[in-house]
Amino acid sequence: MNKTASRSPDFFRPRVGRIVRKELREILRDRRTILTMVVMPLLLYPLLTVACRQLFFIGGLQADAPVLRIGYKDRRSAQLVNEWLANGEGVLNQEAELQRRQQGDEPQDEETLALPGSPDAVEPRIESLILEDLDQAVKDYAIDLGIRVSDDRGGWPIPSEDWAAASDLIYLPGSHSGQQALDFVETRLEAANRGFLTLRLRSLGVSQRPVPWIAQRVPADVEVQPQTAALPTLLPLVLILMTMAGAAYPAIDLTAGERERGTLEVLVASPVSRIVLLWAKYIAVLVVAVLTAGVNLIVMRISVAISGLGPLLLGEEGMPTIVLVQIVALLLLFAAFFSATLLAVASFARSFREAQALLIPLMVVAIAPGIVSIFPHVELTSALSVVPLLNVVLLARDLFQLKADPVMTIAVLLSTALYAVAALAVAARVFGSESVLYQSEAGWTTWLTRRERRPAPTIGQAVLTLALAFPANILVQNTLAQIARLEMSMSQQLMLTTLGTVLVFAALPLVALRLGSVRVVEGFRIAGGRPLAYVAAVLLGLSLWPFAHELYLALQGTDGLSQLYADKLQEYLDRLRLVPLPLVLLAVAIAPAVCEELFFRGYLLSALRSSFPRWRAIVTSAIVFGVFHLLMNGVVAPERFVSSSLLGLVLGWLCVRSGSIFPGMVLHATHNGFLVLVMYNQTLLESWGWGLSEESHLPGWWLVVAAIVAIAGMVVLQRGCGAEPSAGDGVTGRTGDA
Amino acid sequence: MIEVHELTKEFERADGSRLVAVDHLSFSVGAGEVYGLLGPNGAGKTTTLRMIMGLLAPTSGYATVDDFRTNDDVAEVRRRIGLVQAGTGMYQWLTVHEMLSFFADLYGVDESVAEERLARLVKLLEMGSYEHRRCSTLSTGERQRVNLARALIHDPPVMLLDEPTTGIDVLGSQVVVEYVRYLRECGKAVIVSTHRLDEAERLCDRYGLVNKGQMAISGTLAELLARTETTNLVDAFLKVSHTGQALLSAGAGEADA
Repeated sequence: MNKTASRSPDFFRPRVGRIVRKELREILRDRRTILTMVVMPLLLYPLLTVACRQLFFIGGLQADAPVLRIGYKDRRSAQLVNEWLANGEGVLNQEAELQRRQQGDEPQDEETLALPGSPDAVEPRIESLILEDLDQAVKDYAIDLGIRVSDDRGGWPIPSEDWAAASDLIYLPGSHSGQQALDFVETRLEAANRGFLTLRLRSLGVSQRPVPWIAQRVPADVEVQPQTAALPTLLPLVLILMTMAGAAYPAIDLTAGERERGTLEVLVASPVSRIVLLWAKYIAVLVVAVLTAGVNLIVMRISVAISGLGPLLLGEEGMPTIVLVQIVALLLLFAAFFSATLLAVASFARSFREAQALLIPLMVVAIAPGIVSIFPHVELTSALSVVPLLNVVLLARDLFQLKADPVMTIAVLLSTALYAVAALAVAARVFGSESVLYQSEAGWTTWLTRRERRPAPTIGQAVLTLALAFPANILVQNTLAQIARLEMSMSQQLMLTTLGTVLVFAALPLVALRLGSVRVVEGFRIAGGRPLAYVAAVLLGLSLWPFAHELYLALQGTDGLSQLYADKLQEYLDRLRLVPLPLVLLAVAIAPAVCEELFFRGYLLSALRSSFPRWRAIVTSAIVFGVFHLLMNGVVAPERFVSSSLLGLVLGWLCVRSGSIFPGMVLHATHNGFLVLVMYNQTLLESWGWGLSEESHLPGWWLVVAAIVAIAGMVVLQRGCGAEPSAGDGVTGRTGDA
Repeated sequence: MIEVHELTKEFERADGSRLVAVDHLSFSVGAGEVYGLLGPNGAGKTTTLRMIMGLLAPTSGYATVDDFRTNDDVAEVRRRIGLVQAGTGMYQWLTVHEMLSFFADLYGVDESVAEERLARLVKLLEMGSYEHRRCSTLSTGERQRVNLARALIHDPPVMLLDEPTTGIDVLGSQVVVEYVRYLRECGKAVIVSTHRLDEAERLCDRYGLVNKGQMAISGTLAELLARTETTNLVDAFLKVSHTGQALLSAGAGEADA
């Protein structure tokens, strides 16, 4: 006779902490971890600051004026040339003043003239040196430029005399400072020559201008991009890359490495479940990643402070504490996402080397969007906000520059968190699984296919699908918003909207069901349902919209939530009235009703019911439903979250009570359809004295009637549909540990 | 203590065909008994042990450990099993003490009990000189002893030894022999899976000869030898396996000729 397990759920909980402790002890004692975590930043950031200083120097952004060392054979030559250069400087100033007067400009403030990257930013300081061998001194970098005066006849050239002084300018080709000194001297010599020519012409009685053809550089009137525009992006990118590097080694070592060493099987053979083991490993990898990020941040700050680049990189006031906190939080989230991804990928591998082979392409793929983010003019748009890594780098850059957009921030945080959960779900599926652990002949791809079809998707599958559907929905919404600006008719737009709805909410879960070996009919809850449920659905569909309308008004009144959304909605409704009613009903009522019910009450609720109790599953699906309705035409509308979540609750309850998604489709279509009809006939209704604009409340008696009908619907549903159907709705599809 | 009933495991090959690794295998092992699961490489011994531990899901049939079914109560089953394998590695950066304490913890052994048990095992397996050394510094023989101790740290009633002497020298093999004797004295139900039939003769009370996933013959040594009319396990196995029969008949043919 078999015993029944008296499994205590608390038995395993303290184990997570202890397993994490052991994993960390092992990882942190490993020299390779210390190398990545401590040695690399200690080497990298001082080198980076040196590179940055060089970059600033090249860009003319150095805080101090550069010193140009010019060598002469003797003191007399030095004096003569310096005076001649000063003469040229005077001519340059006169010419500049003349130019300003001609343009009618007032002399500008020094600071506004000194644009970053402009060669006029800071005047170099000249240091004259007397040296015997000028050629050798140039080769030895002792001076930037050597000036050898070969013919001076003991003084300056005189305008009335016909002779010219001659000199050699000795410089080292390829030397930046040498080139700078050369430019400096040549510019002034030419100016001095121009001045001299004017005087000589005048002395000869010629009234011609010294230079017959003047070409003047006129820069195009564009915003000057400082050469350092990439730096605020470069720093977060480096931080993120270092966090990735920090997480990579432990992720490989704790999965593929453990398998290669032969310790994974005894670990998996313990009574602690695979999920607990994976969770502990995940926390360990995350801790190491965060520690690496922390060490990097500290070393970076110290390096920046020591190098004196702080004001240039972070502004005169330095990095505000709140920005630092935000950056740390963002790094934490990124580490959570990337650690999960690494763990998922490394779990496939059978050896350390195989894991490296798998992760290197991933790292390259991950770095590529990061590099893109360095380019100027790349903005964090709603489309980019769901691109992994790129979104985090761009958000970090915006945080650094104190210009992060709250909506984009939420989109980045949400999508990254979702990706993290999805990666963990994959890792949970793969880590220590039979096919990966014992590399059966069919290969590890068998984890994707399951011969035996299950009645409902697992939570992991659902999370994965959500992680795909969420960015897909944002992309569709964003694309539609972009299209709306094009010259496309509203009818065409509505057809595209319908297509987007079908793709995201019907095609995607259908593919997910097929790949997850879930029986489609049960996974989508396609069943007849109880007849009275349809009656309840119609009653609720007709009566819920007034409450949604009033809720919307109430929420708008609280703190004036998103006027932008209200404007967009009004604009949308006005354009909608120009389209034939059947098409509007198809796009706004029928397609969303059918597809969203398939996704939220069919696919998602089935998955949730396979693991959660009834109400927890309904509430969770309703919240997800609400979150998906946050966006409308590219605008975030928190009001929609509340009303959509409440509608999601009713639809979830209806689905669970009826055991089918069809009554929900009826309710959803009736609800949306009725709103469309009311909106469509607004003018007619207003002529009857029933104001239904977005700002006005409904008549009180409407609400009373709606409440009576809604209560009737609920009573019919509660009484008429009996107990919750068990088939396909109980806790099904629970998998064992193995 | 251990019941294996019609246990079957099929794997899918890359070409889609099916490989039957274990084919309706049945046997039982009682407390204080050492059962030798014998057979050539690829006979299905390790697959059988993995199914008993719940590491592999059986295609059909079931196994129970202390009346807990491996399919249903895998955690309870694993808590009752100690596993010794030839290829098991070490946590290189942990000391022997830390590693054994970690496994005790993993199996839910109280800290004080674990310390007491650890001290006893250190003494029993003579690991005192390297108890606080990192595992990466241990010799092969020392690693083997640490693995034997690890399997016993939670004092399981059932022990599975999968090819315990592979890659071990004579002295190491003797340690395993002593270890199995100790397990028998402690009243544990033990399955020793090995392809070294000579060694099995020194260790086991009963035997199951597995070939191509099927139980060819089982019983005590005396029963096996009587039924096969041979004088040792190697001959007995060769006689019941197809290879052996072919060789034997070929040998007989040559002798006749």
